[in-house]
Amino acid sequence: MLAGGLVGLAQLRFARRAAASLLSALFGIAIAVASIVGVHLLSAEIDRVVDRQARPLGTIEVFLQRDGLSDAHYFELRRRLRAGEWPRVAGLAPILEGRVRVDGEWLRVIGTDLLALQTGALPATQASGWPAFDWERLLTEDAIFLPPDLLVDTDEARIGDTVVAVLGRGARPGLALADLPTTRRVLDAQDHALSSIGVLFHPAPSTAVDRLRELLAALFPGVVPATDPEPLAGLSDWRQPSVAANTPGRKLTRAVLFNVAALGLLSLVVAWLLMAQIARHALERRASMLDRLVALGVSQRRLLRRCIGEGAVTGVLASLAGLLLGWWLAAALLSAIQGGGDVMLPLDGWAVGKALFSGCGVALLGYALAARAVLFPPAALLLGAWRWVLAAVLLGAAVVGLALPATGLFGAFLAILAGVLALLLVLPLVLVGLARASLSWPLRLMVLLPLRQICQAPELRLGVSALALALAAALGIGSMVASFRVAYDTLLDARLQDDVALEWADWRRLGEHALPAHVRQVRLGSQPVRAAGRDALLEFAAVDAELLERFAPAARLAPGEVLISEQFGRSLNLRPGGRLEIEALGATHVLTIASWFADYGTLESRVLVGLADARRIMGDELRFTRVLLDAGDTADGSAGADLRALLAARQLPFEDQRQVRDRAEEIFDQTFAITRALTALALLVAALSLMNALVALALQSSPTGRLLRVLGASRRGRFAVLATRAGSAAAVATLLALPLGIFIAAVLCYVVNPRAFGWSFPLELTPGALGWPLLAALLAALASTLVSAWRRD
Amino acid sequence: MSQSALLRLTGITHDYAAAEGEAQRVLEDFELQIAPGETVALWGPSGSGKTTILNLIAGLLEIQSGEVVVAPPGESPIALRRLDEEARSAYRRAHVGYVFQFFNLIETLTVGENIRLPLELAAAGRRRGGAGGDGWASSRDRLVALGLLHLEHRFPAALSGGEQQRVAVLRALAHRPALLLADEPTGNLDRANSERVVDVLWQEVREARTTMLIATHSDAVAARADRVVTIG
Repeated sequence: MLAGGLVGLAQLRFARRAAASLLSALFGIAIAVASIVGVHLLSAEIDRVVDRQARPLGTIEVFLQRDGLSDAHYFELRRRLRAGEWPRVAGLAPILEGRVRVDGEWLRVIGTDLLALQTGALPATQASGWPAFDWERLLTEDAIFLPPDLLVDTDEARIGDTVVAVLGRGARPGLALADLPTTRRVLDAQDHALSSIGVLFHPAPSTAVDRLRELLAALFPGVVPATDPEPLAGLSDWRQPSVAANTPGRKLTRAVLFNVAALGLLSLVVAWLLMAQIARHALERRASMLDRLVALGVSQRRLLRRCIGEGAVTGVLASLAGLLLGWWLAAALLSAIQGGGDVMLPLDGWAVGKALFSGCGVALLGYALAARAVLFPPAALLLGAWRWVLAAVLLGAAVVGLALPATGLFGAFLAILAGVLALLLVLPLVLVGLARASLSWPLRLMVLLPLRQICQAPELRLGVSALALALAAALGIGSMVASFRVAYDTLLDARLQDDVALEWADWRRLGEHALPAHVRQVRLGSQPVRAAGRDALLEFAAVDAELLERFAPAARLAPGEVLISEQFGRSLNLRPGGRLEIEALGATHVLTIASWFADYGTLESRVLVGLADARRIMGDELRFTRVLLDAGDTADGSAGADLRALLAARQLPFEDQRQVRDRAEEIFDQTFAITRALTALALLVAALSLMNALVALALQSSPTGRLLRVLGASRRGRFAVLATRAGSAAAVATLLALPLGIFIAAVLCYVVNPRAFGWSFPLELTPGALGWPLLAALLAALASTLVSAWRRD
Repeated sequence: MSQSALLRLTGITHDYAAAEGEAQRVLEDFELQIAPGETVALWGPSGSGKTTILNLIAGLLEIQSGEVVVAPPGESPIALRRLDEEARSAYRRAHVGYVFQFFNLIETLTVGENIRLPLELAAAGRRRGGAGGDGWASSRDRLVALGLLHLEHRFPAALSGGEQQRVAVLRALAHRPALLLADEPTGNLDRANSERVVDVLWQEVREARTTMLIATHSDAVAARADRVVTIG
């Protein structure tokens, strides 16, 4: 017992001497855990919000739709349901939805038969976002639930020509709920008209696969997609979109969350490298003490257990710190995304579990591997040839992931992971090769010396690896975001080149000739059709060139040709030169696909046609829906201001394109705020890792420093050796990170984005995207030099 | 200082701070004078202050009391107490060679590069640039003469202890210092290797016509010196 106490005391005193390293490890792991926890909490919250938005009517899973849908179809389906045709179905609900303008804002109104939802869809208020309500008033009066953001502060609201009683407010902005008759009145819809029929399913018996899916969904919120139910039999002439398909934003959000979760894991990998490096250094420093303890009869396994115990304590402390930091980070980022305000996120058991599992796992694994390497040195390290072979296998896996679209996002991220692992495998060989090559380099010895040190010091490899990995990720993600921004700005420049947009009815109220002659008027139409069997928007303009100028400036459009949005083309493999069937008004028209056009930020399927083709497709139903007005450029922007003032004086609601652009850019930046924060955290952990490695090396190579002093090297010269060493390590990390980062950026631009969202954009290596990671490397090197010099002196 | 002395220590007293905050005196009023070309053994038990004397002469320790003056042939005498850290570095680069008991070679430089390093430092100090020139040519000749040329491109880890010490001797003399300081250069070697290193040391010192002060507690090594100074 006494011996055990003394052994522990010896180790404890040693740990106290290495307090700076231990604190670095704690800090690094805590930041990585914070990334994991922050991503989890953010994903869970965003998933909750998206889920609630996707399910305005509670647990409806599928919509049934067809042309000319009416109450008669609903009653027919209900009869078939009661006849037992679909035993999985618990209930059906008729739905009518449409848009109206209230106080200048578009309001989506959903109407349903609330009695048909007695199976429990609507009253699940937590899931649907609707408060408890007064059934009797909703059914007997023209009453409505308004969205929280509509600035109507009375018991009554005027919607169109209808005055409705306000029963309360739901949780989703822009969405109102009423019963069917009220909705028909508000929307001025035909009697018996419906938009869709909602289908509610009985809870399915839970299988092992379902339970596994539920577990994964809880563990990785937002990343694991829900499965669509099987289509109902006997409804071949009906469309049966699932809730997920009906709300493309859900897919978009899941793809974003997937990216973010991958970034969180990156921080953990970098933290593991940091921990392994620090643990190895700490154990190597006490190797002589451990040898003496072994000589005194303490078993190596017991020492290994003690070292692992030290890792466990570090892990628990770092996990708890990371949990709190991650909680704060998630709230701060969510607040930033929402544009300010306090956010309080629930800290669930999964977040706590992930924090402890991640932090302790990283610490234990780092310590266990380091202790094993120090206490039980391997007979031989992994041979160089095998490293090359393994790297080649990994690169093969990357090629498979990239070449096979069926592998989806997992294939794309597998390619990135394989690239990263290949880099880590090859790095030691590169460094050894550099050391060999340096024998013939005509450099001054005071420069060669630190270069050799970084090539030959095993403890530096982990630090350089961590920095290279984080730099590559920062460079890759930064380049992708910058490229996306360039492409998005180009799109906004074209789409929002005019001053204002008016709804067609408002423009008619204004009158074509009420505007000054210099105001350019662009008439646009957008009408729903079916294209390649999918709901799509047919877009056209009074002048074809004006349509192209706004949607696809580089494209050409001949009669009989269409342009389709890239995501539409990719999702159905519709290629330029191919045929597109457009169904409208009971007729089918076949046109040739001229090319794809970029349509970022939406997953709607769009088809651009010339006016002549639009008339052929829509016939008498052809309607223009919007008018863009442009007062022309003036240096002081006064022409645009005059136009806006004119419209405001006429009390006409209009969309200020400049404000739309500002808002679009704001949303873009908010969307990528999470990405930037996580990348910065990974860089911080990596910089810590490099700093620790360099400080450790400086301490280990103190005999070299002493020799240099004896040989007459000046203080400045010795500082230059430290600086060169740190700078060289950062330079090697940067050199390795550059190809990997460009590879990651290319995969993100050309593979991940098309697979996740359906769009792509050219990779632009901007100075900003390249500069920040390089600056981070430089700062890491500078900090390492200063700390090393301070520790040395 | 007499005209013929290359090195003179007068009234050297040196204290180290002890753990309890009290000073521990290792040298008191120590005097030493060495003529050019002379080899002097500093003989004494462990802890008697031999290494402290060598470090004071090399300018690695600041002189607390007394004076150390070195008069390289053809140059003005250098009083070390008046020099700051940078000037003492320059003095070492130009006039001092040093051989330790161990950790003599830089692990990440090859044998040839280790020997070239003091030449490069001296050249940089003189702002002449380049690394070596004639100095390296003559050092390489010595490698050949000692049968060590095959080690030129090897790293120190691949050398035996005796080989490392022989290379260390060549490195210490590469820039033709006026004064060679050797601190127990054979203390870490077996008898056979020890004799070979001492042979090389004396042979090279004679070849370079350098003055040497060697700290040792070996009677055999001390017996090879022109003069033995006992301390402690």
